[in-house]
Amino acid sequence: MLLSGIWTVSLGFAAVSLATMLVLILTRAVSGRRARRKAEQREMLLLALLGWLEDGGAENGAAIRRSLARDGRLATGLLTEVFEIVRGDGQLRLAALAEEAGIGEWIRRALRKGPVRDRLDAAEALIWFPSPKTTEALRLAVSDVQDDVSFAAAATLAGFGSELTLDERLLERLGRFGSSRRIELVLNRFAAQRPDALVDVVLDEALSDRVRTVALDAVTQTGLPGTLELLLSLEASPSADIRVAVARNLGTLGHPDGAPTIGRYLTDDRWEVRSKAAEAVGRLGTIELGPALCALLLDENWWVRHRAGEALAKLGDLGIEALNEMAAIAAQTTLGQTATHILAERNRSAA
Amino acid sequence: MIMPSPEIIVASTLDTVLFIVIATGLAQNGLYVLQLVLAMQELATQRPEKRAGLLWRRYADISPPISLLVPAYNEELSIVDSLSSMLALNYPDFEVIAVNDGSTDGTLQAMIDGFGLKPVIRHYSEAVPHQPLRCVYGSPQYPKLVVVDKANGGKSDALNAGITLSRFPIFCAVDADSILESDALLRAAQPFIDDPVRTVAVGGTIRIANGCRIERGRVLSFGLPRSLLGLFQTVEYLRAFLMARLAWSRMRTLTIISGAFGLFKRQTAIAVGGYSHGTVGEDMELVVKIHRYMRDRRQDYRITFVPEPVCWTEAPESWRVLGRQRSRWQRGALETFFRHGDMLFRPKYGRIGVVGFGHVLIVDVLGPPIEVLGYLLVPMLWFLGLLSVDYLLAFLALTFVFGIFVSVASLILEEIELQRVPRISDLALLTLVAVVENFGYRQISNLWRLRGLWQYLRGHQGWGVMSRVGFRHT
Repeated sequence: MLLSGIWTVSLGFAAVSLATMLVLILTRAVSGRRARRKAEQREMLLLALLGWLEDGGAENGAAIRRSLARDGRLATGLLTEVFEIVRGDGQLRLAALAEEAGIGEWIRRALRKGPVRDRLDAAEALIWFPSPKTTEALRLAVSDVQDDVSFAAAATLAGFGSELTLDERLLERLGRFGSSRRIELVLNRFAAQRPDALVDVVLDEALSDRVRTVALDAVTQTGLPGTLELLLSLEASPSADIRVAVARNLGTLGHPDGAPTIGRYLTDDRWEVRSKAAEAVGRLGTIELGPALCALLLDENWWVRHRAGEALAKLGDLGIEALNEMAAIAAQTTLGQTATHILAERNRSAA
Repeated sequence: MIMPSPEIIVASTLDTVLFIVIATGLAQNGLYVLQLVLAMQELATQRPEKRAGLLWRRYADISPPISLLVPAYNEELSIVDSLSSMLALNYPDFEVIAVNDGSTDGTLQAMIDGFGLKPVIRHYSEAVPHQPLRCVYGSPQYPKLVVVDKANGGKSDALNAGITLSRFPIFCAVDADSILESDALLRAAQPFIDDPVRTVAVGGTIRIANGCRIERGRVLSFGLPRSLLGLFQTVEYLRAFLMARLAWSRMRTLTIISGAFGLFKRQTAIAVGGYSHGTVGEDMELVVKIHRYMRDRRQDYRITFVPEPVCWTEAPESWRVLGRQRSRWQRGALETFFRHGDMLFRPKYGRIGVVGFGHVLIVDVLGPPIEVLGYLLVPMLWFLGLLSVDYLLAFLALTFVFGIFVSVASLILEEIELQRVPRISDLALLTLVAVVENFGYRQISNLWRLRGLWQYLRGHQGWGVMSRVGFRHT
């Protein structure tokens, strides 16, 4: 019974798979023609759009509107590409034309009802269609069940300068989203509009270190007054990730008042902090920290030694002199080799 | 006590052997069905994005920097084209580290001439063991390219040298004779963007370049191999990557990432000691070592397979060379399996021990010898009248007919989700090949694997000669 069952089932599976493949081949034959037609349509529409952007003829505009309205999906894909290459007044005219053709509405509808990929595309494409209706659609999409769609909607809203607040719901989502680097995109966009709200995120110890450090990076990029004080207030954080972020951002900020903190970080227990602090010294150009950097050339961790060497090379003549001395007196040791290699790399990049 | 007659002993032994043959066939095919279902689910939920421009817009700002490691041994014919195409990849931040592993032809000179290289000093730490480096080369015209010359030590040794010299948090091991699609890195890096803390390794799809139109290290248009052997391998690769690896990735039990294209977190690879020496299955071994390391430390981690990033490779076109390659792959799988045999079914290793290693046990360790045993025994016994027709049909079903289903089903997956075969005639040809490969090719392939088993048992080492024509001539 079992043995004859094996034969029957196998035969059945093989027959079904072959029949399915046959159907797929036939489908491809039909859809291939359709795809070629669409590609031609797209090509013609693209040329017409570029021509209209050049001369702006009203008659052409009406014809393009009709073509765009005929196929929302094709129009959305095409417009997204054209928006990327057009700037200024051209973008505004294109957006108005597309909105008149009903494409804005088509995308908003896709954002509400489409499959995940369409919703994600729509959330990103709506950046070209700012209007109260779009803002409303995006606000709703922030609660989308898919995190990607939600964050794309939030990022687009932030890009509009909309009054989107980093409310608990969104923050909880960011935390749940784990460590994804996509939260950098959301928070960077948000920082450009509402850096003050991000400061609260940085200070909220209930949030994950990942979200807090990304927020800290975003705040620093804005140059918001009080950023230095914020960074210094986090100096003694028990979290190594936060301390690394403080060192990194003090380097980015380049304010001399950050030097004492950086100096203390050069002897931190964690190599990641020491390495990032060494890098920051190079960016700050604090000559007083040169001796501490020299000491780090003997660090047990290669990255710390390497970053310390690089930072010394960036301190100008004094740093170079120190590296040359070490290369000469300790040539056969790790210290001497680090110094020699850093100098060689520096000379190569200078050349 | 009455002793059973010799006839009864022979009959019951035969019964047991046949039962084992059928049971192993059923287990193998059961695994294939499971893989199909999982692969379908994965492709349905994670549909690859086809528009490269959109990917760039979405991910370019947050993509991690990557070091491409390219071990090269006697690749004089194609190395300059390969490296040129890698340097032109569509990715925001990467470096290419080519390792000349003591080539005996003009590989190093070809790189020096092709890129105007000069000796340079590069600061590095001996992160993982490898043969001494002879010289590091660079060129101001190609700041992303680093070439290192070292004594011959094999592929794993060359990759370890690359790990030592790399400075980015992620490295991508690529075969020197492979061609990456321009957006392959951008796609393959996605798991490192979505889950940068837990993701430790990512594998991508390898496809066969024979028959494609290739110029200066770039695939200009897709084509099928002209030889039957190349066509068989095309279907095999589809089955292996689109079905098996995708399915095990979904189950988080992926035990292999192809050596031709795999991304790893550098820190994790160093923590496990880099690639192991003394094995021809260094790619599988590294992945298994990472599983073991992470599970031993109870760390949450992900090893993922992404179906879309395409790396094109040249497939052997001669039976002899292909046979050697397959025997070597089999040996590699066995070496890894027995090196880490204590992981099998151990609760500590969870699904890796049960599903991952269980799969290797059934498909790679037990499968080939038992199937070949079936080929010998079943027809003979049936011919001698010692076997019922039901047994014969069950065996034929498991080895021939079900194979057709599995091969055609992986083609269906490809057509529904990816559509990378542009011509209908090619699709029809591949369907035919998916049927035909089960009658002869599959059996020969099993014999090669059996030879691999024999070589493993005899402690055979080495790769054997892999003659290639080079992409320039395809």
